[in-house]
Amino acid sequence: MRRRTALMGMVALVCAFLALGVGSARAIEDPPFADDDNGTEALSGPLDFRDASAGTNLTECPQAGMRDKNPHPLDSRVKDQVERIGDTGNDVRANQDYSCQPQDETSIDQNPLNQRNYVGGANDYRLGWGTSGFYATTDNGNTWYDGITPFPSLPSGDNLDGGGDPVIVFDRSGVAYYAQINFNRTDDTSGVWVNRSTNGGFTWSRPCVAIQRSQSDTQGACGGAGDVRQPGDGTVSFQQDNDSRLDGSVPTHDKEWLTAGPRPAGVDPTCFSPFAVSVTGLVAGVANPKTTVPCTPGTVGSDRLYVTFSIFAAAGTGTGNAQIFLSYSDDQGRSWSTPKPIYGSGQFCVYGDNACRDSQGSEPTVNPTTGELWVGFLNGDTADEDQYLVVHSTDGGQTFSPPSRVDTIYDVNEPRGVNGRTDCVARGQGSTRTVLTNTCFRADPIMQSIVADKRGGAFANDVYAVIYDNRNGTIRDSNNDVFFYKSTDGGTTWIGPTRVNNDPSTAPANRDCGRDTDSITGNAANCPEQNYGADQFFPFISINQTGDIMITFHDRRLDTSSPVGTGAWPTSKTEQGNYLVWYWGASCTITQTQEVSQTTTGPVPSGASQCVAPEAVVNPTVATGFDPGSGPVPGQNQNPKTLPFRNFQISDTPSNFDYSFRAGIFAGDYSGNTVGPRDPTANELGGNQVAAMWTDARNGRGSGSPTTVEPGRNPICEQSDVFFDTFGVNGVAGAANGNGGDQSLFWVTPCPGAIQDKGAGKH
Amino acid sequence: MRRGAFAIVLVLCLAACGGSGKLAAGRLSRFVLQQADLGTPFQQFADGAQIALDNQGTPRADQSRFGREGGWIARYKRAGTSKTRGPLIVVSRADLFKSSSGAASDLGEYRTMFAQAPGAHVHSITVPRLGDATVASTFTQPGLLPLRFYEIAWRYRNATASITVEGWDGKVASGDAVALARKQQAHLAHG
Repeated sequence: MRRRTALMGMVALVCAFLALGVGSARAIEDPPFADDDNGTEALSGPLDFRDASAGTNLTECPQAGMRDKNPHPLDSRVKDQVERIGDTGNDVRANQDYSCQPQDETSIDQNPLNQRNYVGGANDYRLGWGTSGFYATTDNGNTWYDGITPFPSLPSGDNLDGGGDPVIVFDRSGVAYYAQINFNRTDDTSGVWVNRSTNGGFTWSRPCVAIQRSQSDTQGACGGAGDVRQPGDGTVSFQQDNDSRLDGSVPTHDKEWLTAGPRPAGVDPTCFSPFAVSVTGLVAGVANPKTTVPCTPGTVGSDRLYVTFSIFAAAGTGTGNAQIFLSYSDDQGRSWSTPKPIYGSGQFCVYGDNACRDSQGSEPTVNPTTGELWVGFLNGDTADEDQYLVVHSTDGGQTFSPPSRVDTIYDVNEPRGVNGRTDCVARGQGSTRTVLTNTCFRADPIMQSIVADKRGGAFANDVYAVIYDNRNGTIRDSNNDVFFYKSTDGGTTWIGPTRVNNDPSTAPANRDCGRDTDSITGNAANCPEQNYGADQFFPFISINQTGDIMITFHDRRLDTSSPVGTGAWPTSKTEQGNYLVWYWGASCTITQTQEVSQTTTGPVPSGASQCVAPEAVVNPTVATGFDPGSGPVPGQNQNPKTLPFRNFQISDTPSNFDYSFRAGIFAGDYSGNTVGPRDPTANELGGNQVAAMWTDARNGRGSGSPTTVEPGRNPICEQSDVFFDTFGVNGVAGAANGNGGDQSLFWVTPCPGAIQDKGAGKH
Repeated sequence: MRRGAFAIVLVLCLAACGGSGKLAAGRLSRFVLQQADLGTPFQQFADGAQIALDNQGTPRADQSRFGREGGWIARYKRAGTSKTRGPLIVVSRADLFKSSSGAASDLGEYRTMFAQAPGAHVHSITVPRLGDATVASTFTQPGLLPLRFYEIAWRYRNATASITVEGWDGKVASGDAVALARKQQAHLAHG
């Protein structure tokens, strides 16, 4: 016993000696400028003030000293050919940073009270991680100011600095709103917030998750004394993580959207208590509702704001669903109603109780004359193909109709890693994410687009939607097209599809070749190789007050020559053409309407046939399920000569998405446009201007010629930017001003040696 | 006697201060292929802890599976044309588990993945054993220029490791993949 004790003591002594030896070596190095007294270490300023609030960001403030002359970097590099080409035409870059980081996933709106004021948003990685960037102009897009929206403050005193999924909306009084998700990168904390700007998008409110100081506290607080924000300002929904790990242990917020519109007749402004409700309770349907409180004087806005979003269930709960919720605000985003599920149920949601609770990609839209609200969303409660559903509300979002079914979204036959695109998995793409032929950026048809007519009277019940899918392609060869649908009976009955893009598009004989039954898995090796057409994707729809419909989208039709086995990632380039990306528009005008309901039979009535392809039908399955099988479906082989949308090119040069974020695997999930209100007083812009904002990788570069030894893939060369252009509603007067010159320059664009990362200590 | 006691003390001390057979998570980044293993034509385009997207949609998607403690991934690309011989893209992974049985279960998931791989001519291949157990597969991805993939996964103590080698069909061989896998196993064996 004594000997064992002695032995253990010796072990401990030797270990202690080794440990102390290391420790003493450190101890004798007294760092310069350090003070060994407790608590007086000379920390750097940012560290010293890390737990101090830097302000509330609410203020429009004096700006003396601005000379309106932007400085420029002292670059020593020489512009390459692609940069020179990218500078031609009239496309304007909205992000003003020089960070060489990506911006993608764009949204834009125009100030109704100042038509030269546009505000845009995008996922912005200039800080080295994903945040929400804003871009503002007051001279019709000639020059821009930009930045990152303030991060929400949390009860913990921290700021939630990850952001994305930007949506920009003006209300009728010219206040701009920026909806976004914010989240932590290292745990599951997430939520939905709305920032507010009263000066055209130059400064933004900093949202606040209200601190409840005691159980009896009903007022809440944002921070300490002097924090003037209204507790809860901008907080739509919030969930704090429960285990400080990124493991899906709590529900996750995602894919929010925002709109603004008048409160319907008889609906009064309502304001709410500041504290976020339990998200777990929301998902389970047992959350305690917020209480209504008197609105703070002077805060009620001209419009009711509506935010819809998805909550993905926590991992391991076995539900695996994503429910759509809606929350509204009458006080310019300061307080928000208790989020309520709006997905409803229908015969076409085939599981269990027919609830359509596996839904995402929601977008709300309001008729500005009636305040009627519609929400469109993707639903997956189907045996096979997904579907696009619409619900509507006539009482300001208190109650909703059951969903109606616009159409099938033919997305299960998109190429993915699990059905043959192993090349994309090797590049880092998730194996179930949709990718397009020749590239690996994700292109899942989730974020579709919907807009209500802006007119009243006979048009007050008219709603329009665009979707894109791969009904004209296969898992081996993608051929995504954009399709238009219209409803003239308040969103119950839908007319379509009408193919929007008018380039050649041929339907495959077997759309489901190689695909496993009722699954996204399969084997592309069992499909014949054939080019069915170029891909169009990420469409967005808007309408002005005289019925001009504008749809914008990314488009690869102009690339017909890029060879197989070339490009930035030669092993992914398996088909000629259909590789480089442009931004395109399509327009059509609706000047008459006629109610078409489920009792309508035969062809589409002439009064409702504007902007409708001759092959389109009154969808007979809006209330029933539809499992299309692999045979012919509506939207295939529509005659390009009779398609009603006029197509035109918007971006002036091609863009290679292989040079977007992280080895070309992400370029955003959507893009945007806005159609200016037609001003009867005919302002200087003519009242019918369209503005588009899109992700463009013309400034992205590779890292060497594929025929030489690469000097290194250079992450700083992978970037996409936010580009902007204006044009008339018919696509003329300022759309594309150039053809991009020699496209082959964009196939492989090396990162010039002069700007490559040299490694540590070599700059 | 004194010398013998010191030796015992030293052995016990080393055992107390580390030196077990379990691979340590702190060295995960060293358990994947390094730039020097592939040579100058290759450039790394990803290197870091595995994120959800790296295993999304696969049987290995659960990041806490089988007592997993962490994982690392490195991706390499080289320039090439349709005439380039040898690997063009190489992906190297390592995952650590609390126990070797956890690693064995993970290797079983690799086996399932390899058997389910979408592609043409999918079949398992025999390669020299790496570590404690090995599974390997090859297939082609169809196209006007078909691709060839080799995938090798193995277990070593409480770790699993794998490489994916991608090149043009007919211009890349299983030997290319085996050579790289051996280099990676050397890193694991070095601990």
